[in-house]
Amino acid sequence: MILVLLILVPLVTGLLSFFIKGNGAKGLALSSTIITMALSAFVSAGNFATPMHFSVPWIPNLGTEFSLMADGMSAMLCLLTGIVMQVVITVNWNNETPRAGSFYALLLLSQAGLMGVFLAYDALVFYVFWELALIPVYFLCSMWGGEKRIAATFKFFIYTFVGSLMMLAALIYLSMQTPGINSYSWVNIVRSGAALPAAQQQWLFWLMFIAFAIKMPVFPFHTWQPDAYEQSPTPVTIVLSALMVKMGLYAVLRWLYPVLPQGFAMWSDVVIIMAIAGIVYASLIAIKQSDIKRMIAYSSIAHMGLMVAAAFSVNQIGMHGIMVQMFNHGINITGMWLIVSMIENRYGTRNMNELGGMATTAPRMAIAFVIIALANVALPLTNGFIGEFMLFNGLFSGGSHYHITYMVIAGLGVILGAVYTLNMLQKTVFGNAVSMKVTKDLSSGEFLGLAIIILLILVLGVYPKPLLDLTQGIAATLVP
Amino acid sequence: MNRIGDLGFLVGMLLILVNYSTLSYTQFFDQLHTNAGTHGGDLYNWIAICLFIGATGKSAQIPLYTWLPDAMAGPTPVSALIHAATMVTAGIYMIARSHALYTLAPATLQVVAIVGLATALFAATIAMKQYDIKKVLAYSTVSQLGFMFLALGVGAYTTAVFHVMTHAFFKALLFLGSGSVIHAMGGEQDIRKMGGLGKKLRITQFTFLIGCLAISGIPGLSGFFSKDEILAAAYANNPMLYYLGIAAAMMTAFYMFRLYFLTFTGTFRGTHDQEHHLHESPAAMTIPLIVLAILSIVGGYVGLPGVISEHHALGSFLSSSVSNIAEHHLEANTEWMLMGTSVAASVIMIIVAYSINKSAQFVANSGLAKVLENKWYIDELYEAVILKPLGALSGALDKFVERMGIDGMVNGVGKSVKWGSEKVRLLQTGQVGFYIFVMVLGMIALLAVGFYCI
Repeated sequence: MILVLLILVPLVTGLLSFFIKGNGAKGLALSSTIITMALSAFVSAGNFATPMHFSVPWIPNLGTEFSLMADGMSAMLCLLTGIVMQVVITVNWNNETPRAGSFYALLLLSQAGLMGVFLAYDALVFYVFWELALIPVYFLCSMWGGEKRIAATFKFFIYTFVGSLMMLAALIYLSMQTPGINSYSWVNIVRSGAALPAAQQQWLFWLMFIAFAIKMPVFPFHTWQPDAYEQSPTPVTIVLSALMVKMGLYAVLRWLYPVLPQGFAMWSDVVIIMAIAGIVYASLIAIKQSDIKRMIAYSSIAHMGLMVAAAFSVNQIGMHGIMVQMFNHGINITGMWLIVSMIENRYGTRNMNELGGMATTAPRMAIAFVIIALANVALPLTNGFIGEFMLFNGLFSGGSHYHITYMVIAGLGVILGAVYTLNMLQKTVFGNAVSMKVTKDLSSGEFLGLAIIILLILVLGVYPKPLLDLTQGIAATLVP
Repeated sequence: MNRIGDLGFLVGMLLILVNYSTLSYTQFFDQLHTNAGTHGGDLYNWIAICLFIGATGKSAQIPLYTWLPDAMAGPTPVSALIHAATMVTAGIYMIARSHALYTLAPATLQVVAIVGLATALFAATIAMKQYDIKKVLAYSTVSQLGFMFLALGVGAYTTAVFHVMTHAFFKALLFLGSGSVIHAMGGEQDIRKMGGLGKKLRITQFTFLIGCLAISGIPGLSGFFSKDEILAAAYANNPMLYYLGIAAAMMTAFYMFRLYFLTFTGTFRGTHDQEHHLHESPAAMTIPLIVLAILSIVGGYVGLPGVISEHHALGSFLSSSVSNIAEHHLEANTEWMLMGTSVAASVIMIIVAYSINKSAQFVANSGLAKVLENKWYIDELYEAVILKPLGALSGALDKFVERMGIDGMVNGVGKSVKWGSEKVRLLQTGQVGFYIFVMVLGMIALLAVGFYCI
C-alpha cells in the first residue's frame, strides 16, 4: 500500500494544486514533497530480501493489472526523486512564479509519473507512467521556459514521443507472445522476451533501446537535450536531468536487459561504442560552450555515457556502480542547476565570459559552487568519485574484447571534464568581480537546499555504505 | 595535468584489481612474491608504467611538470608545503612503496631513471634563467624530484626516500626564506629588482645561504649525503647516468648561488620606497627558518655514506618496508673519488656564479638564454599543440557535427515532412471533376493489380 501512496500523494496534491491560487500552492507542494520524501525514505529503509509488491486488477481484457514492485533499485530512485523534488521546491521558495498553482501542479504530476515509472511491474502501467511523466514537463517547459521554448519543447516532445511509440509497439509485440492472463506483467514479458529467437530479439532490442536512448540521452540521439535544458525553467531542468534521464537507464536495466538477453549481448559492443563516443564528443563540445547551462547539459551527456557503457559491459561491479552513480549524479547535477539559477538571478546572465569574482561578491555561494563542481568531476572524497571508480572498474572488467581500450577512451572524458569544469570555476568564481543585480548571498531557502545537497555529497563521498547496501542486492540479481 | 596522471594511475589500479582482485598493499605484494612468474613480465611492466604515469603527474616530471611552477601563484607557505615537503613527493613515495612491483619490471625502471634524469637536467637549465625568485625555486624542485626518480630508477629506493627527506628540509627553508624576502620587498618577486638585502635581513640571508649550500651538495650539509648517495648509485648502475647527474648538480649549484648573490649581495636595485620598507621579518617567520636551517645541516647524518660509517640509520629504519635493490659495491677509493668530483664541480660552479653575478647587469637575453628564460617555450608548445587544436576541434564539432549534422538531419526530417504535406495539400483542389479523375485512375490501378496477381 505504501507503494501506491508514493504515487498517490503527488498525484492528488498535484490535481488539487490546479485550483489553488498564489502561495497556497507552494505550501501544498512543499508539504506534499516532504511527505513523499519521508515515504520514499521509509521504503528505502526496508529489507529487500523479498521485494515489496502491490497489485490490483486494472483492465483484465487486455491482460494488464495495476501492479507495483519495489526492490533496491526502485527504492533508491524513488528516494532520489523524493529528495530532489523537495530540494527544488525549497530552493524555489523565495521566487515568485507566475501562475504558481499550475506550475506546482504540473511539477507534482510529473513526480507522480516518475514514481510510477520506477515502481511499475506491468508493461502497460509502465508505459502509462512513462507518458505521464513526460507530458507535464512539456507544458512546464513550453509555458514557463526561455525565449526559444516553443522550438525546444517541440523538438523534445517529438523526439521522446517517437521513442515512446516504438517502445509501445515492442511491448505489445512481446505481450502477444503469451496471450492470456496478465500478459503484460513483468514476469510474463521477461518470459516471452527471453524465449524469442535471437533474430527477433535483435530488432526488438532497437525498438526499445531507441526509446530509452533518447531519454538518457545517448549519442547521437541527444540533440533535444541541450536545447531543452537551456530553455526550461530551472526546476524543470532539474526534473529532466536529475530524474528523467534516470528513467532511460532504469528502463534499460529493468525492461531491456532481462527481457531481451540475446539482443542485448549482440549489440552491447555497438552501444558501448556509441556511449563512449558520446563521452568524448560531449566533453569536447562542452569545452567550447560559454553558456553555463549548455556546458552542464553536455557534461551530463558525458556522465550518462559512462553509465550506459558500464551497463552494457554487464558485470556486477559495474551494475552496482550504476546504481550508486544514478543517485549521485542526480544529487550533483541538481546542485549544479541550483547554483546556475542563482547565478542567473543575481547577475542576469549565464555567459561565463561575462561573470567573475563570485568568491568576493557571494562567498557562500562560491564555496557551494566549488564543492558541487568538484563532485561533478568526481574528485575523491565526494560522492561522484565512488560511483565513477566502480563504473570504470566495471567497464574495465567487461567481457568485451576491447574492454581496456573502452576504459582508456572513457577516461579521456574524465580529463576533458576537469578541463571544462575548472575553466568554468575559474571564470565565474575568481577573476574580476562583476556587480550583482540582487546583492545578496544565499537566501534561507537556497541555503537549506544547497546544504542538503552538499551534505549528501560529502557524507556519501566518505561513507557510501548505506547507498551501497541498498543497491547491493539488485546488482547481484541482475548479474548472477 | 594531475588529471592526466590520474588516468594512468587509475588504469594501473584497475589492472591490479582485475589481475589480483585486491588493492591492499600487503595482499598485492604477497601475491607478487608467492606467484612471481605466474603472470608475464609484460603485465608487471604495464602496471608499473601506468602507476608511473600517475607519479609523473603528481611529482611533476616530464612531460607533466608544467603545472608545478604555475602553482606558485599560491601563498608562499602553501608553495613550501606543496613543493618541498609533501604533495610532490607522493609519486616517489608510491614507487618506493611499490618497490616489489618495480623490481619485477626492470624495463620500467629504466624508463623511470631516464625520465628522472631528463627532468633533472631540463628543469635545471630553465632555473638558470628565471628572474622570479619563486620560479627559480619551483624549477629547482622539479629538478630535484628528477634526482629522486633517478634514484628510484637505479633501484636505490631508500636513497630516494632519503633525498625526499633532506630536500624537504632545505627546500622548505628556501621557500620560507623567499617568503621572508618577498615580505620585506612588499610583494616584489623579481630578483632583478633586489640586491644587497643581506644587510637588512641578516637571519634570512644566513639561513638562505645554508639552504643553498645544502642543495648544492657541500660536504657536511644534508644535501651532500643524499645527493652523493644518488650519484654513487647511478654510477654503479651506469656511469653515463652519473656524468649527466653531475651536470645537473653543477647547474643546481649555479642557479642557487646566482639567486643568492643577486638577492642578498651587491647593491639594491629596487625603488626608493621599497628600500625604505626593507626590514627583517618578525620572529614568527625567522624562528621556523632557523629550525629548518638546523635540520638542513644535521638531516644528512642519518644516512652516512658507506666509506665513512657502516651504519646507515635511515636505511635500517626503513629496512622493514623497503631497501635498495642491491647495495652498490663500489671500491672505497671510487666512492671517495666520486664524492670529490661532485663537490669540486659544485664549488667551481659556485665560484662561477659569484664571478658572473657579483656586478649584476641585465641585458635582454638572446639566443639560447632567451629560450631558457621562456622555459624552452614548452607552455607555448602545449598551448599550440594541445589546447588550441582542442578548442578548435570543440568549436568545429559544435558547429558542424552538432548543429549542421545531427540537428540538421533532425530538422531536415521535419522540413521534408512539412514540404511533403504542403505539396500533397495541393491535391485537395476542391474540383469534383479532378477527384473523379483520380478515383478512376485508382480503380484502373486496382483492376490492373488484381488482374496480374490472380
